[in-house]
Amino acid sequence: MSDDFAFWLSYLTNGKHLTWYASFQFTIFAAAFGGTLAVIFGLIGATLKNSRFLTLRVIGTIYSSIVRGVPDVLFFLFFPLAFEQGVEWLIATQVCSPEMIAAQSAAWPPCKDANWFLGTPEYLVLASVSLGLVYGAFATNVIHGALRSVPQGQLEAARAYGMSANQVLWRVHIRQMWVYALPGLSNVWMLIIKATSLLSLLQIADIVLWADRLGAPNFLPAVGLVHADWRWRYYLVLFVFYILITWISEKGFDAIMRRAGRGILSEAR
Amino acid sequence: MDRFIAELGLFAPAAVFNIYFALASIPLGFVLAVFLALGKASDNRLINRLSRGYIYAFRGSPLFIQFFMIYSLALSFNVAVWKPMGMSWWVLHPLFIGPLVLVLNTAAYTAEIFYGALRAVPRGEIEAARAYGMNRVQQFRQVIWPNLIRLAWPAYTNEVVFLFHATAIVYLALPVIGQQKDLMITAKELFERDYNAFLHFSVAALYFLAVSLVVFFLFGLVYRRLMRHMPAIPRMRYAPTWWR
Repeated sequence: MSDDFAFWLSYLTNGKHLTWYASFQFTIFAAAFGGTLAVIFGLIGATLKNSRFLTLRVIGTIYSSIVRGVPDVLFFLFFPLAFEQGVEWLIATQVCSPEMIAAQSAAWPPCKDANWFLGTPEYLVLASVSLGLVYGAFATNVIHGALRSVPQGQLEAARAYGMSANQVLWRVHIRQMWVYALPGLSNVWMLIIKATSLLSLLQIADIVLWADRLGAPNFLPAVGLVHADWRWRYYLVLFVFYILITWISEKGFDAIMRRAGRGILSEAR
Repeated sequence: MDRFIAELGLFAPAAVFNIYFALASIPLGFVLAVFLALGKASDNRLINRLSRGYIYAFRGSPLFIQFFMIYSLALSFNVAVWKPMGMSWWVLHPLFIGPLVLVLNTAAYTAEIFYGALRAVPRGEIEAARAYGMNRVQQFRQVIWPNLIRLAWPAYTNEVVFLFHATAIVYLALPVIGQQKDLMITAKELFERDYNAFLHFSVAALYFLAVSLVVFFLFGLVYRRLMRHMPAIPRMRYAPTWWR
């Protein structure tokens, strides 16, 4: 029994498993950074949508409706690829000479020197930005709706106190907006958490990729079959992991909503 | 421009796979969701706990993981069960596993929508039905269900569009067999050939947008039919809302 325990303990802490545990940082980083960016893009998008100028309003509306009308995976894959190409094209206009372009046989980049190598950290940042862009469109809608839910009387009272338009916006409107936005933002956050499982599509060695590698049938010529296909066990662990994260976030958001709703009539929440 | 039109033709057979996945999973998911929603509202503690747990688990975890988990689970039974029974050619086929996982997933989301609608059915109407001496089946068929489906329909429309968007993941998680490629795989393969991300991905996006609009249109027609007794039909929002 204790031998068994010692064996499993050492098996679950071998080098590959430790790398797997370490790769949770990528998921957590992408969720945290992507979530922050989504709120920022959401605020920008809602401001655009509320703008007095038609062009800005149209930009905000197009952003929030087009990005939401397309599958998140598609945009999630498209943005980093397009961004990388855009940067490589910019480099190419500077460093490539016509001879080098003629010598290049592959379709991309235009010349060998224009190649921009992306490692895991760069891809992680790009993935977070594209998560932020995609779910920022959802957050735009949420914040736009929340800004309109703030009672007019509150804003009128603020104006009657002689606050300038900026003061009304920052001290009253946006402060009170959070109470109405939080339920929607908590939904967006849940979507972001679930979308972090897609990181492996961008060649990031995240928890999903490692679960696949660790669970794959392990055959060593010296000892034969070490273990059969164990992938479903590893995926089950991830399944439970994500449910736990969702549960924790739900509790967290409940606490935040209770705190943000202090002093505001309960039907406002 | 010619390239763009050629590209549209190239993606047409791929779109069929996405539409197949959605069409195969919508009816089953709908039926399963009704039972799950009733289960969540049930007084029986076991049924209540089970359906609550199921809905929570499948709404709380990514579809991508669900695909991997169920596919690898099916794979691990291959040698012991599917192969001897001669079933592995269809049980392990993406065209079967894909809709299976999508049904399990969409049933949970739809059940949550239906449960919300079930709780919003006016109490007075149910009491009136009871006062008429209707039994529980009659109550459900004559009073609760018509109210429920009308309340849930706009949200269910969004869910169907999301389900269609979710079909983009199927072949990113499951093996691609031969020429059976959906929109995402086609876009990715074409991208790897000539690195023209803007063309290929936007054509794929265009297909997704177009089918989403068709879904909104058709479901809008159904909604108008459902609401035909109302003097002014409540407007349906022709865009997925933020909530899911």
